Amino acid sequence: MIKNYFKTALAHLKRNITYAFISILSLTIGLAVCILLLLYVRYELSYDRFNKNADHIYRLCQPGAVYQSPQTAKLLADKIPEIKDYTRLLPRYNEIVEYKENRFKETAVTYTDAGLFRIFSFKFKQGNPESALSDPLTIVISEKTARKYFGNEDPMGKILKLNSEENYTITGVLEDMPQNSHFRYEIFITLAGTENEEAFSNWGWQNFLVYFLFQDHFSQPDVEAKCSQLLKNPNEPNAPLIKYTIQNLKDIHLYSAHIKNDIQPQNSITYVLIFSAIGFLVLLISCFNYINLLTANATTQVIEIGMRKASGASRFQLAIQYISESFLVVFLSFCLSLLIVGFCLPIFNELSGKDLTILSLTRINTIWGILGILFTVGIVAVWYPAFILSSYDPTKVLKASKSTGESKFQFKKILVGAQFTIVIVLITSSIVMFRQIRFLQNTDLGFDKENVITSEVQTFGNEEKYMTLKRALLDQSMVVCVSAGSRIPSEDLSNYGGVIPQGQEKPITIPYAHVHFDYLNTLDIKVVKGRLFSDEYRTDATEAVILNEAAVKSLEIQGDPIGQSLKCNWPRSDRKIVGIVRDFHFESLYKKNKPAVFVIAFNECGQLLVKVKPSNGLSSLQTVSDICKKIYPDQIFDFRFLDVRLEQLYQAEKKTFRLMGYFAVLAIILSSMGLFGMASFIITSRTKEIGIRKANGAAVSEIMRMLNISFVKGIAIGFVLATPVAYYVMSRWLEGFAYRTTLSWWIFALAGILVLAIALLTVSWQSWRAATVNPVEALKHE
Amino acid sequence: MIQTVNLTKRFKTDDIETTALNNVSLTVRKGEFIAIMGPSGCGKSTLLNILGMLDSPSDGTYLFDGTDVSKFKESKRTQYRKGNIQFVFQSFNLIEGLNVFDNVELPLIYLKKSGAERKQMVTDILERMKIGHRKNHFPQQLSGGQQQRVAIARAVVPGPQLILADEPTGNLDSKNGIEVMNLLSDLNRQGTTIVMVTHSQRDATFAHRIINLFDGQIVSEEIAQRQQAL
Repeated sequence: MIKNYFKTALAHLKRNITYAFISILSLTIGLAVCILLLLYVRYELSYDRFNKNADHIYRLCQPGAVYQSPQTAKLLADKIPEIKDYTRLLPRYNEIVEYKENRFKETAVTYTDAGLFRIFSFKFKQGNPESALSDPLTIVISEKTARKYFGNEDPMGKILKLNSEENYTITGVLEDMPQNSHFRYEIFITLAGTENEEAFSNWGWQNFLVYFLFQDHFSQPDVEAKCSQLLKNPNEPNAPLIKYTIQNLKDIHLYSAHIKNDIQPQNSITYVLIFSAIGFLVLLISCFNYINLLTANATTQVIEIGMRKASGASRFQLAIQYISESFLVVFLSFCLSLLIVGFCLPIFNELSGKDLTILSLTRINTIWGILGILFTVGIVAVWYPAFILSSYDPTKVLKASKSTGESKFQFKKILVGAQFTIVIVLITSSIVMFRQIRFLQNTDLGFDKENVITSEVQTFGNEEKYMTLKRALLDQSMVVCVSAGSRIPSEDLSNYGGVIPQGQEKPITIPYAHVHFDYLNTLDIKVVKGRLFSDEYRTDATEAVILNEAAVKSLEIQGDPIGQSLKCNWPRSDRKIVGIVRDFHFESLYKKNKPAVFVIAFNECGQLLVKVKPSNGLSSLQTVSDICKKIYPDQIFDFRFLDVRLEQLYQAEKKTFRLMGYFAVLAIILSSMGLFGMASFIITSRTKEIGIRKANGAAVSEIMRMLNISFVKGIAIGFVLATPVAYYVMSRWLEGFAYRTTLSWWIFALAGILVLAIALLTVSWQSWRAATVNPVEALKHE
Repeated sequence: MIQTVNLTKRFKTDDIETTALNNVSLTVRKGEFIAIMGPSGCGKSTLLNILGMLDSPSDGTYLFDGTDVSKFKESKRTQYRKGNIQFVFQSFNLIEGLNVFDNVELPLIYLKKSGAERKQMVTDILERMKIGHRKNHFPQQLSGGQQQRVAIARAVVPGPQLILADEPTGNLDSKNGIEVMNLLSDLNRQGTTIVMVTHSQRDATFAHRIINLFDGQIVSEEIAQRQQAL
């Protein structure tokens, strides 16, 4: 019996090979997309959950930031009994590490407390996690780092030299850290023994991340209140209370969008939701395709159903018949989609910047997810044939062989309308994302980002040595300008210090940009008033200050600012305002322009800027690099053009946009396939009508118009539904940017027209064929 | 009105070529009622389709009102035929999704008549055919005879010069069949030229002239014993 069901099912599929092909292909694509995104979403949700203590690990935050002073952690741990353990992280991005002749610049380095390996579950290859970093001058490295420095030698007990100064003994080797950890480092250096250093008692040095391990039961609001109280500045009893919060480890990766400058770039739950929605929508589209084609198929089988019923098949048996057919299609599609997932995974990883593996398909919650998807598809695929088709009354079915057609078309049109709603939302979103990314890249930043080579420098040494470098660089004909600064655009302007404007008493906290001569002209920043720093006035180094326009406003400077005095505390000095510069986008366009004060402070400078003539970029990079290495042989430089750095600020958006674009295209293809199948069905079933109309004087163009309009209606409805949805979603997304493109009406119109054009192309070929068929043939069609 | 000279139609399917019409020369004068008879497959319907400009001949000439339309492309044939030639089929060929009114209105739409004009003309013709009370019904709700009357109403509504009827009574019982034949006769008396393909001797008696077709050729022509409307 069962065998017979499958045999009939297979025969059906073979007989309607076009429908079978389209159904299976579209279900396959839909399932593959859905499974891929399931893997992605699962991966994003899995961050940090490998830690056994994940439920009890919390990170200390203040509003919008996560960086604390060196003593914060110990102070709280001593006073709050709920805290079982703590660790601090002091990330470093620029450390020179050497072992014998192996010397590398390491960017994934962090100083930390011994508590780190007690709290987090990082696996050790060698050494004891409990005690690895307990002693001063100990260091733990990753397997990868061990191989890099020591090859096959045993790294335990070996000595690594840091920044040509201190020697650290290796006391542990870590397995490479899991990718789904919200921070990843290669080298961990102990903070033990630093307690008595002067810097470590400086409350202003807010560069430490603090993680606590809490006991099993505690009240989060109580702890947060205690933290806020304990961290009140005792010198300013009247200052407003800073509200400290604690963030659970499992929330860090996806719920830290409000935190500026996080330890490492995190994702956002928004994107996870967007991609979940896309996966679901694409699956929906392919399910709709399947139902549409199935019913199309089934309507032609109405007579067969009638016949079968008349010859004694029960409704149940008919239902089983259609269920087995659906089962066959879903099963085939599922197998194919697994193949496609395997094949596409590397491409998807490349696009999304993840490292998903096909193996993660076998994880238990992924299996549940896939079963869930299949169940949904199964319900959809089975519900219609099993319960609707099998319920046809045989007498009606046999008598009015085709009269069931019209209402069925309505149902199909609704599904097609829904599909195109989804497609239009996806296309609109892609266009908006594309425009926003282009906006980010093309906005006038207020400075010239072209042809500026930049590099971090560990230390410039004394000013004389830097001047030697500057002169050597300027000797090159292609070098236009050379300068140094503490920060360069694309970085955060986060060195806050106090200033007291003339006539005021209280210091105002404001971002400082510490620079050297020629910094502002290297970036071609426009002077609004006064002048830039100039080495013709040697006193500029100690007595001059330049503000941007925003700073003039936020400091509430009255009258002509030029010549007014300003008390600065970083470095402590009395300065006179010599110039006002135009506001420029120092930070990424996520953030509003900040006020900034520019002062000359050579000792703070750690970035080199070289403006070159526009020519062969690579050769100028090489020349600059050669000269720098000659003068600073001990330094490891990292030369990059400024525009490249700026572009990297928006990598996440670009990746999302690209993925989004691909999925939108897939959705269009899937919907078009469905439309094609349905159009072919509807048009075939209208062949006779077309013949009749032609016999009554209809021209080909009139027939085509008639056929196409019926499909255009579905798209028009889709457009009306999609526009508000897309508008809402995209305005929410754009809110994340301080500077953003406008949501013009034409974006929606363009998406609508695009979809209309694609749909018309899909349908027109078939309506053309139908309209030009010889009416004599058409009239014979039954 | 109609003059064909050596009209020939060949059909090609893969490698077999069949000749459906072989040198058919025929003249139909304005106001005539012609019946074409012959066994199945003799080419009656093919001839009718060519006369109705639904199809074009492979060879020979077809003069309609003195114009040679045999080489016309489809769009031109449609243009020429529109409103001048209408059809009545054995299987009625009403559009199921449209009600009676809409079905009858069809040719007027393609003649680009205004809405008010269409409404007037359709209402008039439905009254004349005595199916005005059925105008909101759908074809499948009507009996065969009623359906054929709707089809005739549709054929008549644009005021064609020529009506081509392909076995108009083939799907009807004799009572309804005679009713339909009476309708056609009336139309003929009012000036419409009618060419009808039929198997039925009785129907043929309504015509002025009977043309017998065999294997695609005209084998004989006779003047019918005209039956008076019953």
